[in-house]
Amino acid sequence: MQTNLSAPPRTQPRLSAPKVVRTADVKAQARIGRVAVVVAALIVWEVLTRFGLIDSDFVSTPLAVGVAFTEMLRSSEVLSALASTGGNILLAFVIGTVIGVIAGTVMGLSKTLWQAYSAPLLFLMSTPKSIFLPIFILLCGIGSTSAVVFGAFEAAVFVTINVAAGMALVEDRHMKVARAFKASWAQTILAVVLPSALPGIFTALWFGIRHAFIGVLIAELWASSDGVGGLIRVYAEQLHTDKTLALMLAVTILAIIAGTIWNHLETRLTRWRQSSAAGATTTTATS
Amino acid sequence: MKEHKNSPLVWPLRALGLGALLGVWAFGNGPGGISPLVLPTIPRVVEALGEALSQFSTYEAAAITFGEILAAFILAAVFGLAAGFWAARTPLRMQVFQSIFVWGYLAPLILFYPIFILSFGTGVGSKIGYGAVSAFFPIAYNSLRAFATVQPTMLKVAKAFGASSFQTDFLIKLPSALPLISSGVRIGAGASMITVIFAEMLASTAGLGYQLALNSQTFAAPQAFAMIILLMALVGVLQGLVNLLLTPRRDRGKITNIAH
Amino acid sequence: MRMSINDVSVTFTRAGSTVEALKDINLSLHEGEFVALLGPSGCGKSTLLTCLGGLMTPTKGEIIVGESVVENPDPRRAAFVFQDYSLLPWKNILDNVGVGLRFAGVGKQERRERSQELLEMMGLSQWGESHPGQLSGGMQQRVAVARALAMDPSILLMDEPFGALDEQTRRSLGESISTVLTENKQTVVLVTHSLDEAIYWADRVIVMSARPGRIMAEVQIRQPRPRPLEFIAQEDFAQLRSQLFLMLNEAMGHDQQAVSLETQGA
Repeated sequence: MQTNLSAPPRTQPRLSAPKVVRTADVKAQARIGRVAVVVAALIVWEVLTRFGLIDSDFVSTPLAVGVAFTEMLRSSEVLSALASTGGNILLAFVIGTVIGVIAGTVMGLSKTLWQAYSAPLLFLMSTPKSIFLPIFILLCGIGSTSAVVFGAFEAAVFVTINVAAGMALVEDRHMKVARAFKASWAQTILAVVLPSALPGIFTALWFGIRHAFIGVLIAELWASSDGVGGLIRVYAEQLHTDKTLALMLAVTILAIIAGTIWNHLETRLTRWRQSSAAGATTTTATS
Repeated sequence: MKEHKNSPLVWPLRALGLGALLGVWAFGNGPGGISPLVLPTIPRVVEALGEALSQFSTYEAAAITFGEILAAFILAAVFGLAAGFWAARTPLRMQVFQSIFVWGYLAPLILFYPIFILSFGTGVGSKIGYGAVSAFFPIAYNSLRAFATVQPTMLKVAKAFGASSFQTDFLIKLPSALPLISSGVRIGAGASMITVIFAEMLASTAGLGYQLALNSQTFAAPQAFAMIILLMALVGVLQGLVNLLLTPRRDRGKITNIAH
Repeated sequence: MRMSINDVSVTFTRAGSTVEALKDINLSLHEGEFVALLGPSGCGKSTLLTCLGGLMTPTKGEIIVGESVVENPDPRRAAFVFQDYSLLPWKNILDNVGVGLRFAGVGKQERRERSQELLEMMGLSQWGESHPGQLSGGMQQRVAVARALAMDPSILLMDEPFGALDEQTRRSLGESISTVLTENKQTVVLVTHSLDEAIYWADRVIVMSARPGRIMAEVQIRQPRPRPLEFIAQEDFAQLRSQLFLMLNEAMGHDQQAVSLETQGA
């Protein structure tokens, strides 16, 4: 065989425009820049309150928030609230995700069901779920139960849609390969459906966590005196602005850390999907 | 193959779903033994809805909520687009602000309302400010990405044909950035709806969300359910407007973009 | 293995109207024969191939391989090489080649050995751990051929396997795969719209016409296989080519399309 069989791979055509060149230099500068922006904002805040341009009763000051934050880490009230809210979120996530994965898979597999129920579900998804909160409170009372059920409801809506959309990523040609090479039902699911739907499932799980989190906290904030949400309300009503902000800061940091970890995990696990960089990586960040 | 005709079962299935929902509701009231104090009967809710629709104050409340959402959204759109455009101008700025916008995006802003009440009171202003802040980040983030990821070949074409930097911005960058911007605006519209309505429910003196919270806290269950239905209608109208504004492309693959 | 296609017709119903994709196809292939199905787009040649592999059941008629009627896909009987490669992007090359063996329950060790053997035959032995996205189109197509050959099928079904490749890659790939196929004594059915490809590869070229898809003519190519690339430059080749060109032209009914096909298939 006089052939050039082992030609080097062609350079991959990039479907999406590459992001602006990330040279090490820009990266380092950017890191400094981010810190600078945050520090500048804090200084402006501190100075404005110090000179009385904003009333520190209402927005507190960065220093006061810092102090409250360190005190908070030792307060049993806050720690037990964190623990109970964390437990509620986990429970809501599990319940909502299980329901959502089952419903989403069924909808993803049946074109008819998708056509019938996708529009109402999409409407529900972009409707502020908090308007249904009174129903949950009326039925489940004020307390952990309604927080968990409401969180599970929020999570389930998003997981359902995203799992169903993920199933749509399974390509016909790959299903044809499975048929032509005589894969059994289980083999088709394992070798073709699951890997294809993985990015969608990942997005769905992220939505599950995020919305279980938001749902539980909203329910607590609106009508409950326990948990982090309840505590935020109580502090705000007592005009403990520093404590309120410190607690929000803690929750925000947790949310950002979780989101960042998830982003990395997702890109790592679906790395073979090189060409879809533009679409796939934004889904988590933009949600 | 391109135009998928809907299955004839679609509408019967939808009717079935609605029937099931109403059936469960009716069952809960009757054999289920749930007290009408917590789950009002369907006729009572319809009655309350009729009452609400015949009162001028309901329309006033709806107008307030609508106005707040609209104002918050417009503020967020203007500032978000400007911020995204400005931040995409240099690679360094882009790197710095992309992360900051993402943080703002990831932060559960919906929990921050108490701060807004403390600073701006319980009036209309705090709702608008709060809605605008929460809608700002998705719009800014998506605009930044949109302006930063213009195809290099297009920019090359612009350069080769002697476009000025103004022309490049308006004839090349803006059109090619539009799809991503519009998905950001869509998310922003959703965010302003969510936050404004929740803010009304938490602490306010007017608006449909306030009516809902008031009715629910005074255990006027039928009236609360009527408000929920009215709020869903309002949200439906707003979503319809957003769709009209952003030339909808009904395409299944893009669903995740509408998510909040 | 012998294959016979008896009175096969396929009709599709689309938006209320019926389209006759294939009408009364009769054809038989003997063992080790290489047959090319040549025709304009829309003549149903891909549909016929799909039926041969059992991915679709004909509306009328039957396909018999050996002693049995084809009803379901069986890669040991007839394995596909698809037009768009259709490698699974999340599996590495070695696992892609062995995917059919895995479905058939072949153990990991044996699967890997067999896949490696085929990759060597295709000149891709050092790419086993790479992913499809890292390979060029021509290399991916060779992997798709290896995946089909791994099943040691009696019949190989190729649907415009080189359609997406550039001319140079097509030629060199054609030559190397042609050698492998001749050595393996496979019965091959190739769907193509390229005159050159059909003549260079096949023992027999079947010319099909469109709407309804039916067999118009067939031409024997008597040159022994595997054929050297120089065959393309010979007088016989040119004659066969013009003969087939006229047949195709007739199959399409009007000249304009013939010209566009000519430039495409050149």
